[in-house]
Amino acid sequence: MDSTQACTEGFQESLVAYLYDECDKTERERVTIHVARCAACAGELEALRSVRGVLDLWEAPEPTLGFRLVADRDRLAPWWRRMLEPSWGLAAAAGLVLVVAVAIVSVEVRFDPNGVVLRMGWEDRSATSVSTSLEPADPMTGVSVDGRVPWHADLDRLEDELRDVFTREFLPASVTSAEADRSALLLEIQRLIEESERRQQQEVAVWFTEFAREFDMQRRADQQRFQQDLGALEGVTDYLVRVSQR
Amino acid sequence: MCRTDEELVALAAAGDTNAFNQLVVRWERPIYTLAFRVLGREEDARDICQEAFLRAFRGLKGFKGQARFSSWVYRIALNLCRDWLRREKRATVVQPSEGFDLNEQGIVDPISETVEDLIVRRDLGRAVSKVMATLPVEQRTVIILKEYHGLTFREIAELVGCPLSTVKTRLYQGLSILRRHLAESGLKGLSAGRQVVAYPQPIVREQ
Repeated sequence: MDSTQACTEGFQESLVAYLYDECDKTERERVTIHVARCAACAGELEALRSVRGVLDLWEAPEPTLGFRLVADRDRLAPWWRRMLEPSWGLAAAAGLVLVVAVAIVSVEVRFDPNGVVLRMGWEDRSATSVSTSLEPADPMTGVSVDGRVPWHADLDRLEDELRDVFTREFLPASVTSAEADRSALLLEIQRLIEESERRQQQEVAVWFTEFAREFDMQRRADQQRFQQDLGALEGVTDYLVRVSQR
Repeated sequence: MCRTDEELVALAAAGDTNAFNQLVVRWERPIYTLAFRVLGREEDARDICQEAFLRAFRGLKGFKGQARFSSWVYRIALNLCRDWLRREKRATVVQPSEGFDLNEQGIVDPISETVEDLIVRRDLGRAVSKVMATLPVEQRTVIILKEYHGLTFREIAELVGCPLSTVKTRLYQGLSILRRHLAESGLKGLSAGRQVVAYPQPIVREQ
């Protein structure tokens, strides 16, 4: 390729692509051949390389970042999930158990001339009712005529279901992965702290050296000024001596 | 266990803030350094960085994986930087760095480098940042994305929304201006290169 043709503005793009090694084989060969023949372009390429070398010296300061997102769970979670939060969930579960238990045993409290009547169970009421004088009935009186305890099995089933729900909702399935993430985060934080400490030590060393350098420069300047003033004073003294000797 | 960005994005989109925080830990520094180099101000760079991640989190539902997560956040941060410069009508401020990361580029061995070397590097770094601040923001952005973030020409073109050839031209012009200004500022060891005709005038003025 003719040198004049190559050194057009279009060649600048090829030169930059060559500089950053982002050109195809054909273009690379074209630039290599041209640069070998054209001193101007060879100099230009060398100049661009040296600028790149200097650019490495500009380093960004070490920031103190560390901002993190904190989930606003009340806003993000759906209402049913919010209801399963530990405090809400436990309260709701306790209430639910109470309601279900009351429903199952069908508690009925009645005042009559014989005293307080407390009746439980859904079987034949006459069979399960007990009349006492302000004495609460034995919970086991909910036993039906045929001797079955109908609500025990329901309560057990309910308890199992609640346990399942709590296990699912409050114990995350990915405990292991969460722990791994946490340990990775801790390692990262530890690395950052160590880096920061090392950097601070370097900074202190740099600061002291700069201070010593400036102090030394100031001392030299003062010394020089002092010597100049002394020289001037000596000149004046000589003049005065000479004048007085006349 | 180290999850990929895509996996973390999927988890975060499902409401896992911890997953998103892992993405923040992974990408906050590159985003911050990008904003710092474009704006030249530490505080504002930090704000931009935080805002970029907040916007990313809010927009997770709409992010369908059409680009990499990092490219997406880069784009958000660059738009925020552009808005900041436009809104504030401020020029990039050359702010002397109080600290810098020696290992960022992996070119400095902190054990073998003396304190004097560090000081020389710091002085030179300040000179470079000062000269970079004089570049037009388009050229500066392209140089930053290429030099400090290692993006390809194509990635840069997609990020800044311009043709591939424009990226190369901006890079060439920016580097040429830098070379001239650095040589004028007395930095030794720079090759003279060729005189580039008709340099574009920097539109960003120092305050």
